[in-house]
Amino acid sequence: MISISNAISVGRPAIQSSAPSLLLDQYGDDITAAYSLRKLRNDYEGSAIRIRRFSDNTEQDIGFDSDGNLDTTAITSFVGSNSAAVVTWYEQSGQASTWNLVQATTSRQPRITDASGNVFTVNGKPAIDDTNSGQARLSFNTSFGQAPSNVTQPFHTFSVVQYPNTSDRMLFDGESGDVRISAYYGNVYRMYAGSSANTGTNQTNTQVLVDGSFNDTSSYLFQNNVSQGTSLNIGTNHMRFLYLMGKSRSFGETQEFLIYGADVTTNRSDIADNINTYYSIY
Amino acid sequence: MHLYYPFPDETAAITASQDIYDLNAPPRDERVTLYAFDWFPNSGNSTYVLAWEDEEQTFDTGDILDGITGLTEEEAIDAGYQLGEEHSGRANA
Repeated sequence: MISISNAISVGRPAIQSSAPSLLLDQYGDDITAAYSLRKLRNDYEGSAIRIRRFSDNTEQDIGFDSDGNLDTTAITSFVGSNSAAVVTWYEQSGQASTWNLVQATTSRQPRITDASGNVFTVNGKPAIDDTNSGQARLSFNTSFGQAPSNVTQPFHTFSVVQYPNTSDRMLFDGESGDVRISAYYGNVYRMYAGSSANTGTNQTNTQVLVDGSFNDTSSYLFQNNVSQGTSLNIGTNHMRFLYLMGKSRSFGETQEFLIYGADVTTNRSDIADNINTYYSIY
Repeated sequence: MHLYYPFPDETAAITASQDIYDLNAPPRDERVTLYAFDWFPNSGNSTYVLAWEDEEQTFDTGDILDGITGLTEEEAIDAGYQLGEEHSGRANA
């Protein structure tokens, strides 16, 4: 909080200002892990991402500008007219700092800039892209076994993404298919936690907010704050591992991913509204 | 373009991937990235292939791949290497 008071009385009222309340400042209860290219809570003092420039493979942390946006100026300064990949996507909630998303193999690292050094964007906001990735196998991998515990049902995920088609594009996946949401063949979404449930209608080549409640036979899915199905029977698997943007194929672009380790039905719409206010998705 | 270089076991493939990246990057304590290339198992034996790639970025491999004959993708698949991603590489460092 920034507080400015006029210690010298000149007959004016004190001026007080405070940083705007960010997503997790308002809806931080029950958050388990949070990844974004914007700042999600005022007390977060870490960086957004760690990137590797292709010119000499040097890595550097990239933070936020004064408005809480990804510091793209720092990216351009560091990268120049070259490609840059994302090595780490830092976890912002502070609930489990070892849950940073890391990719240690160069050939799997998604990109933050194209070969000319231009930061990838979706709908005007920076995005992490895994479509220019050679083998098309770039995804984040992290072992949640490093974290204090698995993410057990009920839990709820929010994803700001864009994907080019629906050939089973994984918004996220788990080891041996623990849990996942994908844009599946036939323009449906598929939720899985031991059993598959195809539901709703997905949208390709456009930015979408997809949020899903993993809650056994009471699971449900929303796209752009519109229900895509309720009472979905998806099974009872827990999230033991997380492969953001899939484990085995390219996905598209991603900008934000949140995991709430509880049923957040009460606040679900408000969280979606906060995300939409920033990204102007729908 | 990809070529697949066989190694006797997973440890040897991982070590080669690390050693190649070491030739091309700052010291390990200054970076998170550890591996240059993926590695894939064989369905019929304990050997692995290292997936060398020359697409947007070429890594100096020094003498690490000297004496090893690279396989094309078709040859690697015919030899039993599982290039499908489910069993490739390691999830993380």
